[in-house]
Amino acid sequence: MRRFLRQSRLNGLTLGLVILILLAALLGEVAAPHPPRKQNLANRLQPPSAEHWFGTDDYGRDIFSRVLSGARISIQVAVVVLSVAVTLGTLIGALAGLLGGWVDAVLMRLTDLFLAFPALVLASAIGAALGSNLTNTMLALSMVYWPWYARLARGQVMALAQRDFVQAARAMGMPDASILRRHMLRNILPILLVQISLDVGYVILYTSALSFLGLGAQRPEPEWGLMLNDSRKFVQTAPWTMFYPGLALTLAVLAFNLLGDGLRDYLDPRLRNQRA
Amino acid sequence: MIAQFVLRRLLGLLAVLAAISVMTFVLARVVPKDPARLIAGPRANQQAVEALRERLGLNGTIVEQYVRYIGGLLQGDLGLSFSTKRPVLQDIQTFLPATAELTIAALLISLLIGLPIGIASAAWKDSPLDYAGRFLSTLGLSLPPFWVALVGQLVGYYLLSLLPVGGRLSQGMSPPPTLTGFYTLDSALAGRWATLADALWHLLLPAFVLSFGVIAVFVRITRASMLDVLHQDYIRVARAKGLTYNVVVLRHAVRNALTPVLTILGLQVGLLMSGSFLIESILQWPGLGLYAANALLAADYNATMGVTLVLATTYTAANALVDIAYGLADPRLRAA
Repeated sequence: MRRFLRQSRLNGLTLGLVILILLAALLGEVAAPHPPRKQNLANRLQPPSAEHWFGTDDYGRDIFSRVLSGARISIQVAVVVLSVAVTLGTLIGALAGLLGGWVDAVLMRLTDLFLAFPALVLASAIGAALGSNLTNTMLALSMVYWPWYARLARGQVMALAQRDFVQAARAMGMPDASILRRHMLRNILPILLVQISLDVGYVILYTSALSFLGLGAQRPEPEWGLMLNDSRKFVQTAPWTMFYPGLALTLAVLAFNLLGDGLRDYLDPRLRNQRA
Repeated sequence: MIAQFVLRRLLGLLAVLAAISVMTFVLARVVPKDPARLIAGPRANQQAVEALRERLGLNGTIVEQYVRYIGGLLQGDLGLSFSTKRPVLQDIQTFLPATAELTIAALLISLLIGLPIGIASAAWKDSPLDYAGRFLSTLGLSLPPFWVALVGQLVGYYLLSLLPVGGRLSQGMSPPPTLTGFYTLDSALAGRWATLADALWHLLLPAFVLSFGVIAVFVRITRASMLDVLHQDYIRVARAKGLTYNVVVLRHAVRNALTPVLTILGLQVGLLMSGSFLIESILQWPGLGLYAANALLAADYNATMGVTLVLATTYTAANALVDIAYGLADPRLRAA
């Protein structure tokens, strides 16, 4: 941890931002100064003030409280989507890489099929087929993300299979499943971690994009993309309705992007040697 | 040898296209509990739904249904859009050129901005310029395109009154005679310079907003690839011969560093398509993205699936073309 922080001045800032977002996700609803779903029509479209830091929206709801509470939805979706995608993808990829032959061929053609669609296009098609709600958004995004992990895991497993320590384990008669569990997963983990931290940002971005398109979270949920969609009518008259949710979304994505980059520099021994 | 390579890649493309049709079939007919209800739209009554079920042939085994579905596709039958009341294929033909023009413009902007920044960032590694370039590229990847579009609209139209609020041409301006469907190209070909200027003015904000994420990707890849090349022996040799650093960077390194950038060009088309879904409806750019966003909102099922199929096909074809072009340029890759 200390070494990660010392590696780059940016890492401290990144970590602070990530912790802030996680705190908002955990405590946002409780800590919010106003209930995020409570309407107050007498108070609609008020500019930012001491009472309402980020102003109010067209239903008089406090935007600061909504932005803060929105972190929970985004983080929740990211956790579910990546848990499913990483487990499924790593399993399929490891199987393909370990067994090879026709199993590999079939599984990899399957991943190619999912990768043949632009990500958001596939996610919205799946969302449209299943129906518009947040659960289906999670399902759709899991389907978009697992092939990337399958590819990653397969490549890693195939490379590791050539290494001496794996060959030795195999020569000693260790079954494939144990080799995978005891020798390979541990070696794949750092690369997986980097990819996951980068993808948290993108899953958050895509969740908001789907909600923005009307597929994900539904009103009156305080979801950032949905808030941005609702703000479209007030771009000129009440720009704060679109500014703050967008800023929160950007900062969240940026934080996890930087975390991924920082982790990669930290964990990639090749880069570490270059610097030494 | 070359013909064989191209043929093999084209056959591979066909296989993927067939697989895409299976995927859209599953999404269109197998996943939904009641596809006829979805296709008829939320406002249709029960009788209409039953009639549609009969007409669409949503009976028989899955294989029979797929054969019927693919038969329709091969004849260009993507069904009727219930919100525009026109065949989906016809709608797509209407809206596709606008998106193609926007996508190509955004790709050009990203190359023009992304490559120089990436090259400079690598050439002066760890300089303030490099830090700025790297930070901008991370920021570019993090910015939600729909937010950038809203901010762009606020600043460009409402605050500065510099840019049009939306559309492809100003009110009262008639579109040029259709040759390519690209207003910029068509008006240039027809010699209508005022129309060309107006079309470019309207293209500016959407294309720029759409290019943000792709610029970031190009900066990253160009920088990484340049750094790789700059460590090669022949660069050291060129320097040892007494050539200046700038000459070595521009003459020797850039040319070799650009090939990896070209290979990811196809992938960027996917990013741009995803982006057009989000920003066309905000900036009222009358393309496939606007059509798809409206279709999603209205739960216009046939239209959604039609656009998905067309975009996936275009995306796959773009990647295959890049692949083939790359293979033609570099014989080593043909065997792979």
